[in-house]
Amino acid sequence: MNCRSEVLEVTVEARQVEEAMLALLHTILLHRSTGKFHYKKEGTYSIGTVGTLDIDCDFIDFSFVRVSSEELDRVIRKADALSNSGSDGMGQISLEFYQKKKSRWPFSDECIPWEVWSIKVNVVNLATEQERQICREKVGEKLGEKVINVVEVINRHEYLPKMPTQSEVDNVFDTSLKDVQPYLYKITFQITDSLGTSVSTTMRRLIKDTLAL
Amino acid sequence: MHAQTYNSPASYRTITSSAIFTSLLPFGVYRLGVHDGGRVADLPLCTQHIPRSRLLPHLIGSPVPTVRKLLLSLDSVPAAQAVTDATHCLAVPKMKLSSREPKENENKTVTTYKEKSPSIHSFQADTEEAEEPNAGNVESTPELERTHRAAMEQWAQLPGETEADVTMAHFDTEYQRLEASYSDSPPGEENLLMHVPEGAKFFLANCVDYDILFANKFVNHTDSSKVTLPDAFLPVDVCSARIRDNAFVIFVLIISGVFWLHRLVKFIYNVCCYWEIRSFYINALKMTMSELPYATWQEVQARIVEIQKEHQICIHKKELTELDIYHRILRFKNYMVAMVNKSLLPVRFRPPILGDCVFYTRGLKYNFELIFFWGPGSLFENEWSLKPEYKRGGNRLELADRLASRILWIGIANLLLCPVILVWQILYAFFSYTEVIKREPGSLGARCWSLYGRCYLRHFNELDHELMSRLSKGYKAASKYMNCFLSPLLTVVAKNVAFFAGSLLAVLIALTIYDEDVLAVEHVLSSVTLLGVCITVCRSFIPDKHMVFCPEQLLRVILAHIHYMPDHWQGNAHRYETRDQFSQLFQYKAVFILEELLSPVVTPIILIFCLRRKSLEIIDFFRNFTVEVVGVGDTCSFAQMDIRQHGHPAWMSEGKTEASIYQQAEDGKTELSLMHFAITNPQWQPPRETTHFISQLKERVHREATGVPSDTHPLSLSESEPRSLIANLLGGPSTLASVHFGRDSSLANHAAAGMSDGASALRSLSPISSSLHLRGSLSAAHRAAGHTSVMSKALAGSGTDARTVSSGSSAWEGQLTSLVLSEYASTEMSIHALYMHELHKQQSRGELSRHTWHRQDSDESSDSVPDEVRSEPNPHSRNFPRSHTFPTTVPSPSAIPTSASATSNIILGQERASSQSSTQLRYSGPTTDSLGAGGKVVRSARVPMGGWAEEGRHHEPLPEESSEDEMPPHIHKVNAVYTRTNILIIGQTFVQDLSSDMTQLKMEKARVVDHDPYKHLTSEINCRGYDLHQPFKDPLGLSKHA
Repeated sequence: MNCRSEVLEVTVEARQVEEAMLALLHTILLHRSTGKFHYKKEGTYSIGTVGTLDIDCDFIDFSFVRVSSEELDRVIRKADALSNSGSDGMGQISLEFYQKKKSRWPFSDECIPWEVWSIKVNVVNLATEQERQICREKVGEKLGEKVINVVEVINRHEYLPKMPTQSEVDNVFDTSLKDVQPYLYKITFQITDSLGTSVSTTMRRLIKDTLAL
Repeated sequence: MHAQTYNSPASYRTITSSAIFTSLLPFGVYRLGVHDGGRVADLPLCTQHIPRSRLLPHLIGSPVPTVRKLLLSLDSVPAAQAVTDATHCLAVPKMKLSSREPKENENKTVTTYKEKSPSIHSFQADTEEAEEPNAGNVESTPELERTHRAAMEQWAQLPGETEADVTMAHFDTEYQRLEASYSDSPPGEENLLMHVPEGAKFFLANCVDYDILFANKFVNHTDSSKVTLPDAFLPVDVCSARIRDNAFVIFVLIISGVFWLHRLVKFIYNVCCYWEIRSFYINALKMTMSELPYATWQEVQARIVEIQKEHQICIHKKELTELDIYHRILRFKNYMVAMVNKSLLPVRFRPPILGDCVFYTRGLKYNFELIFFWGPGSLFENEWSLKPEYKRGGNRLELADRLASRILWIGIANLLLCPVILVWQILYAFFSYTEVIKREPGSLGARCWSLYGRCYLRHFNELDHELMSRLSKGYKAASKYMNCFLSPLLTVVAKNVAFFAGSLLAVLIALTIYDEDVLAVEHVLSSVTLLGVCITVCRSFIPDKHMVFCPEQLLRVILAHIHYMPDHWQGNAHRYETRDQFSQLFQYKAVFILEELLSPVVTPIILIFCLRRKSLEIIDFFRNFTVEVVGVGDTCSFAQMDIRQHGHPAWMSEGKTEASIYQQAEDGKTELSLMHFAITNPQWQPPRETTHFISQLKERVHREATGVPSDTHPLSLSESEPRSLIANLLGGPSTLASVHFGRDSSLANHAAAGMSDGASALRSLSPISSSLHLRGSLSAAHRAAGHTSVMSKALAGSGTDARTVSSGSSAWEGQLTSLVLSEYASTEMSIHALYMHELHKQQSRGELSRHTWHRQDSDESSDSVPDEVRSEPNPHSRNFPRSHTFPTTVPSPSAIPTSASATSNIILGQERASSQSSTQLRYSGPTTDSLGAGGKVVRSARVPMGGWAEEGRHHEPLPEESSEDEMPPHIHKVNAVYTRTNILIIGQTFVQDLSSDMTQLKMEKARVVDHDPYKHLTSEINCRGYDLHQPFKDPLGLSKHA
């Protein structure tokens, strides 16, 4: 309820899935990353720079810009590879930016998402080389549109978490990477429509409501 | 006594616990303003005749069994020993007693004993006084104690003292002998030990469920004979063997174990929630816990709106409106209100013998919520959004099937769990009500607002505390109204039973006084208790001697508070049908408990046989009436209170509404909710059309007030400057006379005067004049008192509402003001509700009204439109109140507000069409359903996209229904005058209420604040309040003159 959600839909061939995903995820993360914060005395800090890198796709006529951070790339590729392990058909990857809320000992930290990008992927099988060629171009165009779309959304003046103080920087940014500091994010994927999440929430509600009765 | 009873009844607890519930709501920040929640329906007090067994627990402040224990212990031993003995073994209640007793009481006791005139009555008088809370009086002075002790010793030596007196005196004095009592050892131990084997029978119960106080009889005996509680227990192996033998006992044991575990977990959970909310208040809202009790909800809400600007709690928009907050808190409740309003939920039934009845219990409600909102596979995917497939109309049939099968499964699960839930319910009822019933048997005869009533009477976007305070205000009038209808037969029976029981009780008491050993005889004590209960119950059936039968007026006063009422009640208040229907909203507490107990059995039946059939309608309802609001999520579109979409043409939104019948909210729910919300949240900026509606309505009230010829009566306010009644009350001491205007002028036998008074009373409360004037005068008062606070500036300035302005100079000032203002808001709303009902009545008079009360929800009972309605083509002919000799012609040309009559003409055709189509629908229900297998097809053809059949609207109005036009016009006028008078009366009642409230408020505050800027104000109100308290003698005197 209290978070923006954007949906991107792409239709690709099976071998293009990984590149398409990488292209979109990296584009979003590029705009949602800052340089590392270097704290000095009395609450001032300087922000490092973010290097960029052009990547050309193999299976799509497309190239995109990503943060030149091998670590980040590795993390995303890992998540991406996992999500590709599924077979063809429908799938969805969501990139969720969240803030952490520290809580006391017996409870785990609470994650409050503020922006969710869902990428719905439709995998198609193509028979002929001809079609593949066409698809290659078309997907490239489509991805270009999506990237522009992403940039438009990000350029809007909308809610972003406030810049934190030094002690709270972990609640907003992912500080585990050496060379770049994206907002805290989480990549989840779903191969088909499963009920996994709803059952747990239902159970939670059930217990909660029984208690409230 | 009064004070204590006021604090203790169960209804109060319900309120506080509902406060806890509401604070668990998703938004997590909602907490009751304490002053709103503090108003409690007072239960009837029975001070005249109180059996001793009921008084004693009050005195001690300890639970009943302890007292019984005490009593029993006294029964078996000589008096002096009893005193020492009981003091010995029951130190704890004694300490309580000693800390509670006021000085006067001791004095009195002493004198009583000295005079050797022991009587129950003097004792009762003492105890009743002892009930008075005496916060400052806790410690008794040493001298008093000494005299007391001396008197006691003197008394103890007196021979021939009656035993009963000993028992009672003991309660007053036992604590004096604390130290002296250790050496005594009670005789008769053998005797008491004989009870032990008998008690072993009870012990099974004791063993199984030792928390139940059921076994106290056994415990009593053991206690007084110095057999300690552990002694009384059977050895563990015997106990467990016995338990193992009995499967049922194991079952109950398990259930009660789960029960207690559940209570424990719930307790912990609530504490956690409380902690979270607390930290939100402290850290985000910057309100400390100490100032929270004085804060109203409006202030809290204002803070939330404030911090949104800073923290952006809701990330979608820059500013949060009041409506957003309400929507988030009340998302599901609004749906429920709307579903009850549209008669979608199967809660009304017509079982063969009982007739029309409503069955809506907590269990049923829980199941409904489980199915719709959060259960497995419910319509909502999370707390804020409906599942996308339910928003699309494409596969509604399939979804309906799925829902139906889900309801079936849940119904079956309910059926299987039925025994468990039943035991659970019984345990729950037993634990929660036994003590209350024992203490105050009258509470069973008391009434409470039923769960259905709370749904039916709730506005859209009305928080729990707002609803409860509203209903509690109407409680007194409502119970008065219900008491009007005591059946004579029952009264005769009750009188005789009461007499019979009373005589038995008297004999027993007399015997007890003569010889205390009577109490030791088996069952004497319990029969005394039972007889007392019996008499109390009988008393509730004997009408009050001073009661006046004026149901119509009472019903209007009730309407002023509850704001909703089916059309056909008006004018039929004296009928038993109306009473019965009202009792569905306002039921006996005992019936409530009984229904709760029955609920586990009935709920699965309702789910499987009634709700399942409605699955398609439910699917359609959720699709058609869900809107997505940015930053809020999916909400019920009714709760948007959009006149254009959901207005009802018969409720002043004619021309503005584009709603089909299916979309119209019944009973003017949209309009009244809108007014309510706008009045309670004056800072809310409604959308443009809505603003238009509100301002138009207010203007109309205004116009009607000024449209009256102002020169008809010299005392009428309308010729003076348009100052509001309440502003006068509060602000200007100069216009003392004007307060009398109502009474004076109506007694002046001037027909039009009553009219103009009514109108000016209305106008005076219309926000156009009143709120501004009120605020103006309030701020003037501020200044007069030398408090040029921030607030008074704010008030005098832009008309900002003081309810939301936090106090500038002194906290008390702000709170007082905000309280007063919220009081005004409720009065204003009451007047508007009355006015809207009045207008609605005029508009829809003479037509076959829609009778939403009888609008059928269950298909099989579609033909249940009450006979009295159908057989009466001319319902308004009985709009005349039976209780008054009302003249049939009154020449008062200005009686009908012109606007109203005009609009009623305009609206006539439209309304007729709509009522026609609604009847059409009502009768088309069973035909489609009786088609059986093909029924679904027919129905879906009739309802192409789930909407209600639109063709109903195109029906030509039947000629025979236009009998309205032939009505002689003067009847309207008479009614108009009459109703105006009623409004006037009610206006006065409000002023009375208000003034007494103010006085009360004032007194409370005055205790704390020495220096009070409102001193002169309240004294002003006080004296005027008394003026107004004179009865309104002849409401129809004006017509006599005519």
